[in-house]
Amino acid sequence: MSRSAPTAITCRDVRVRFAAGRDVLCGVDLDVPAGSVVSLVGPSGCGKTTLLRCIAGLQRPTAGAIDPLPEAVAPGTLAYVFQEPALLPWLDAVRNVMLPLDLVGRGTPAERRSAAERWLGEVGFGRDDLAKHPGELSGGMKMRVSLARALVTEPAILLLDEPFAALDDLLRTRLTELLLDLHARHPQTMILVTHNIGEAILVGDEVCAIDRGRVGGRVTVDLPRPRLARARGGTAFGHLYEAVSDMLAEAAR
Amino acid sequence: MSRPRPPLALLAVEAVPAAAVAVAVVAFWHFAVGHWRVPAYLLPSPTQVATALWEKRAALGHAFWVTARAAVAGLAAAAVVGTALAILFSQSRLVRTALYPYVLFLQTVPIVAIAPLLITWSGYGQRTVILVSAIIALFPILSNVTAGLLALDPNHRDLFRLYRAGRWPTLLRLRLPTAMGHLALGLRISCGLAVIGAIVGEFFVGRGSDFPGLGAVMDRWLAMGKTDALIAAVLLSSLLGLVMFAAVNLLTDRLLGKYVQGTGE
Repeated sequence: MSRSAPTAITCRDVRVRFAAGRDVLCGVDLDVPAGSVVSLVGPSGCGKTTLLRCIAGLQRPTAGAIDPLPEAVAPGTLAYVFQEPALLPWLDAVRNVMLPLDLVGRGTPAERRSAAERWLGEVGFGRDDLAKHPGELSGGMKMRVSLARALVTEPAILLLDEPFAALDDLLRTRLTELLLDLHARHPQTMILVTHNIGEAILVGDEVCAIDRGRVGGRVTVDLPRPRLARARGGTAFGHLYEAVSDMLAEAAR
Repeated sequence: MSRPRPPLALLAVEAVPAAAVAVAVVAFWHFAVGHWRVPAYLLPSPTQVATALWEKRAALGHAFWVTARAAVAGLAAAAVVGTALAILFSQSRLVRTALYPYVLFLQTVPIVAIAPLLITWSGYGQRTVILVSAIIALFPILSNVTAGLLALDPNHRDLFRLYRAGRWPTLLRLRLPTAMGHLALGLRISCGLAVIGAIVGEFFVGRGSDFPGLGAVMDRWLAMGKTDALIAAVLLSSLLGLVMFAAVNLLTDRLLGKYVQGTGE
């Protein structure tokens, strides 16, 4: 991704100190060009989820500046995919996906339903499953509903907080490919928080290491798109994997 | 989507031990009354109780119906008032801290102490019986629904914040549905209490009128030394509690079942 592309998200010296006096973010600077994907990798507790929550407006930074200000953008411009599917158990799949449109009051009920059904189709949901409740869906299916729910408002910025961490390897690969496919068809600015270096490289245009509340380094991913999960077997991928691993080791020092 | 139910045959098998205990107790009761020559005013035999049940079936049936109506009305009133108060409590910590001690007062004050007061204010009638029943049934519903309204899944709360849902959409689309499982639990705890409340209410109301509820006829038969009829009425009160519990379970499963399911995680 070219550095000259307009910046969609800018973080300047973002700091977060929790009530107990623990510094979670200690001055993060981050630029995410419009339409690009930045992967944030780092060990547990390094602050990557807190940074994502700050960008989403779910956590107020103690200091620093974030542009766009979450409260300044129209609701639905920012979407967030949680670590768990976080579906409402009393609503069926379609109603869960319609929820953001209901909350922001966009479209007529019929339009909301049709948008929800379309997005469920985009994430590979069969028509027979539309009326199923979360309790009747597998972990992978629930995560697909969660993705469709995030995309239904057609957000300019999609924030993903380790969305596939709880899934097995096979499902994880499938859903990562789905994410790549969705991004190819509906390009939006994305930040992916992950533990998984391979996933970070495969999805990202840039991989940022976060360690102890700071950006510890950046690696640009120049793999051509569209990408498939089997790109992991290539030499270029291997070099990138090594580079990101070295960067993480360096950041941890 | 409902919980898989055990087939009828399995239910029958599960009922066998309980039925065996009942048969054993009745048999021992029958034997003991005859063997130790227990006077009937102290403990009539099971057959005497059964005879009283049959002879007074009209009065008992009517009493059962009157008490059932009052207990259902009391439980319904407690559900409506309890849920409304819980909504109020969930909206502000200040309201919660200001009113909670008084709700605790309602829970801790002995109902037999305030029943005469309630009669003074509300008269010797069904209204007072419903009031006593509702007061006893209120607390479990109120405390459970309040807990449910406040116990949101953090991700769900974040989701609603992300789309800047205001107080009312959050209440209607998230808090209340989340609390429905707690309401079901509260109703299950309270349905037995509502029956107790109705009977206690009728005890007092029956002393100043010819009120026909189970509590009132029990008090009357106690005074007249009709222990056989009194025991028959006690058995019917227990039956009423069981019927209420079964009905509430069935209703909450049907109406609130989808809210009581797991979180889908």
